[in-house]
Amino acid sequence: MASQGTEKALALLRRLPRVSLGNLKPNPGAVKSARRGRGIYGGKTHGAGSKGSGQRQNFMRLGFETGNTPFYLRFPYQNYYKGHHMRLSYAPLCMGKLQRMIDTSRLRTDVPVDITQLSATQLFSINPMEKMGGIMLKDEGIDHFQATLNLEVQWATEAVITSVERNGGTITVAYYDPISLQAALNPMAFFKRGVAIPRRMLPPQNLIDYYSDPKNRGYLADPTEVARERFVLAQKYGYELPDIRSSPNQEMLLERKDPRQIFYGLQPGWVVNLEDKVILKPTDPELLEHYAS
Amino acid sequence: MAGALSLAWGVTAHRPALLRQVLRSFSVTAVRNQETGAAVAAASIDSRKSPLILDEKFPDSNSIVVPREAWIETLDTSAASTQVGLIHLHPQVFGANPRLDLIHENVTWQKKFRMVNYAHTKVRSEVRGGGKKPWPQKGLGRARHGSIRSPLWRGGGVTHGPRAYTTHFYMLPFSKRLQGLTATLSAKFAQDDLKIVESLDMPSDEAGYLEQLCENRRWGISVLFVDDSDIMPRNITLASDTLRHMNLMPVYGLNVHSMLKHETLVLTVAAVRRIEERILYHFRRPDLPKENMKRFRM
Amino acid sequence: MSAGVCSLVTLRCVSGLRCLKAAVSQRAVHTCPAALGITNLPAGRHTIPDSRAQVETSTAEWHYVERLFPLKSIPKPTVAPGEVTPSGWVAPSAKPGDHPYFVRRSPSHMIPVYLHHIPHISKYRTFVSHVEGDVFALLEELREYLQDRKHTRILNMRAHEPHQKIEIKGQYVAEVREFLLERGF
Repeated sequence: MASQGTEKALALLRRLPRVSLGNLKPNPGAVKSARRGRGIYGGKTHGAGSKGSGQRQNFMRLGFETGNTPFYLRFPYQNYYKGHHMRLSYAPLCMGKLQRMIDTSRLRTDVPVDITQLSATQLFSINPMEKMGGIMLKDEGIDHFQATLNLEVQWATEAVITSVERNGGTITVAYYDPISLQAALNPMAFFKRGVAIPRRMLPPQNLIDYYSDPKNRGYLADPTEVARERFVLAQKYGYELPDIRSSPNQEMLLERKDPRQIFYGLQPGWVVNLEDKVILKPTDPELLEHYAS
Repeated sequence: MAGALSLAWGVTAHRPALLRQVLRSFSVTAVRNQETGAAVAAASIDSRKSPLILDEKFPDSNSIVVPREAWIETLDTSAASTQVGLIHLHPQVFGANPRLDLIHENVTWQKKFRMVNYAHTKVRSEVRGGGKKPWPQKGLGRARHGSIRSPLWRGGGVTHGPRAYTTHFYMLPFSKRLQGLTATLSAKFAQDDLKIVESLDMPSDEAGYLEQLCENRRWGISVLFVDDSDIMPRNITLASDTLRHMNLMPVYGLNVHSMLKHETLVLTVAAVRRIEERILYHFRRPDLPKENMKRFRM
Repeated sequence: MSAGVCSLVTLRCVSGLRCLKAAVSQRAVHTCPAALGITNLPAGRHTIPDSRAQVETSTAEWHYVERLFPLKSIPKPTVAPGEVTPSGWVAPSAKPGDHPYFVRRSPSHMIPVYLHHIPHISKYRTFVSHVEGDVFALLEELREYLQDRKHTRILNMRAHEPHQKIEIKGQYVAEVREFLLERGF
C-alpha cells in the first residue's frame, strides 16, 4: 500500500461508529484546563512578583545584559543611524531565489519583471505606509543566476547588475513614491477604485543622486551614459557583453517605463475599467498637460 | 454479480476498463449497498438512458491517494434503478487525512464564536447594603469584619465569578477551516454517510415520500441535502418543509457542524464539482499564507 | 433660589424645543434667500469644466492590463522529474510505492522541511510535513542517516502519525532535505 497513512485511517473509520457531534474530542493532552492555583506557589502573584516584565513576560527585555550596561546604551553616538526615520527600507530578494522563482514557473519571464510582477507572486510583504520603498536585490546566489530578464527593482548593487547583464539581461533601478508603490503592488485593487492612474513622483532629494547615476542603472540617467557604463562594467569584470539587438526577445528587453509611469504601456491619467474591459483616456488639454511627463 | 453487472451495463460493454472500475468500487466502497440488494438494482439499471459516467482522472492532484469512486443515485423511486451512474471524487477533497482533532476544533469554534455568556454575579460593592462596619474592630472578642457583603460572608459578593456579557468570539485560522471541511467530507465518505445524487428532483412533494425514500435507502433519520444553487426544486422543498430532520442547504452554507449534525449528507453532482472547485482554489491560491496571517476585522 | 433655577431650566427646554421645531420646518436650507446668496458667491460657483469629462475609450492597450492580472493558483513547474534546475531546485521523481513512505511537496513545490525557532529560549525544532504512508519507517531511516552524518549519539526525534509529521529536536533542515532529495521526493 503506497498511501498507507490516509488510506489506513479512512479504512479504520469505515468500521468505527459514525463520527458525529457526540463523539468528538480533542487530541489527548491538547487542552489544558485553566486552573487558578491557591495557597503555596499560587495565591496572589503565583511567584511572579509584582508589576512589569517579571509579572508579564518570560524573558528579559530586548538588549538587556543582566547587569552590564547594554550595548545599545554603551556608545553615545552612532553615525550610521543618522536620519533613520527618513530612510526607506526594502524587501530583500536574493538572486538565487529569483532564479528559483523562474525555475518553478512562479514568475513570468516573457514580460519585463517589475515590482508588480514580483508582488503578484505573493512572496513579499511590502507596506509603503511603513516606509518600505520596494524590493532590493541581494547578491547571494549570483553564480546560479542564468535568466535573461528585463528587471526593474528599487535597489541593486554592482555585483547584481553584473550578474544580470552578463546573461544578456537589462536592469533598471527606479523610485516609486508611496502612492504609486501601493498602486503598483496591487493594480487590481487600484483599478477597482476607478480613479486615474497617478503620476509617479520624482525621488526625494537624498535619493536623486542614486537614481540619476548611470553606474547604478538609475531610471533618470542618460541612456547613452548607461550603455557606456554597461560596457565599462563588462570590461571591469572581464565578460563579453551579449548583444541585445540580436536577441530574440529584444523588444521585451528594451521596454522601459517613463519616469512618470507606473505600469508598462499605461499612461498616468488613464482610467482602467475592469468591468467593461476598456481604458478611458482624458482629452482635455489641461489634464493632458497636468499628466504629461 | 459480475454476470449481472455485465448484463446491466450492456450499453457500455465495449469499455472493459470501466467495468473493472465499477466492479472494484462495488467490492470496495459499496459494501452496505451490496447487503441491501444493490446488485439487484444494478442489474435492472435503466437501459433506455445511458448511464452517467464521470470518471475524471484529476491529473492536477497533489495527493497520492487514488480518486474516490461513488455511485450516482436518483431520488426518483419510479426509476428502474437507484443508481444512474458513477462519479470520481477528488482525492484532495474527499480522500483527505481524516483529522478528527481538526473536526473537533472546527465544531468547537462554530459553537463558541457566536456564544455570549450571560451568567453574572455581583461583587461585594454591587451587593445591596454592607456599608456599615458590622461591629467594632476591637473589644468584642469576635473576628474583625468591615462589611456584611464581604466574600467570606453568607449572602456576600462573589470573587472571580462570571461577569456578563462574556463573548467567546475567536477566528480559527483559515487553513484549519479549510482542512476541517475536507476532513469531514472524507470521514463522511469513508463511513458511507455521503451520498451523491444526480439532482434533487423528485416526482412527489409528499413528506411521506421523502421519509420512505430515506428509510429504504438506510440514510438514517437526519439527512442534509446540498445543492449548488440556493433555489431548490419545488417538490423537495415542500416535502422537507415539515420534516425538521431533513434539511436543504446550498453549497455556500456547507459547514462542519451541519454535516456532523445529520447522519447522512446528500450532495448533487453539481454540488460535488462546486465544492471541489472552491476548496481546490483555496488550497492552491498563492496568497493562502497571507490569508492565514490576516487578523479578523468586522 | 431653587425655584429660579427650575424656571431657568424649563425656559431653556422650551426655547430648545422651539428651535428644533423651527429647524424641522425650514429643512430645505438651500431655498432660503441666505443660502441662495451664498451659492452666488464666486467661491461657491466652482465647477469642473465639461471638457474634463470628455474621454476617449480604447481597447488597444488592454493587453498591458492583462499582464497585470495576478495568477489565481500557483503554477505547476514545467520541469521533467529529477531534472536539476540552475537554482538547485529539483522536480520530484519518486513514485508512490518506491518507498514505504511518501513525502509530497508543499503547495509551492518545495520540500516540506521547516525549522521552528523560539528565540528567547534558543529552541530549535525541525519538522518534516506531508509524510504519507509509513511515518515510522521514514523515522528510522532518517535516524540512521542523521547519525551517520552528524555523528551524534542522541537524536531526539518522534513521529506524529495522525498529523503525518516528523519532529526532530535541533537544526537538521539541510541534512533532511538532502536525504529526501536523494530519495527523489
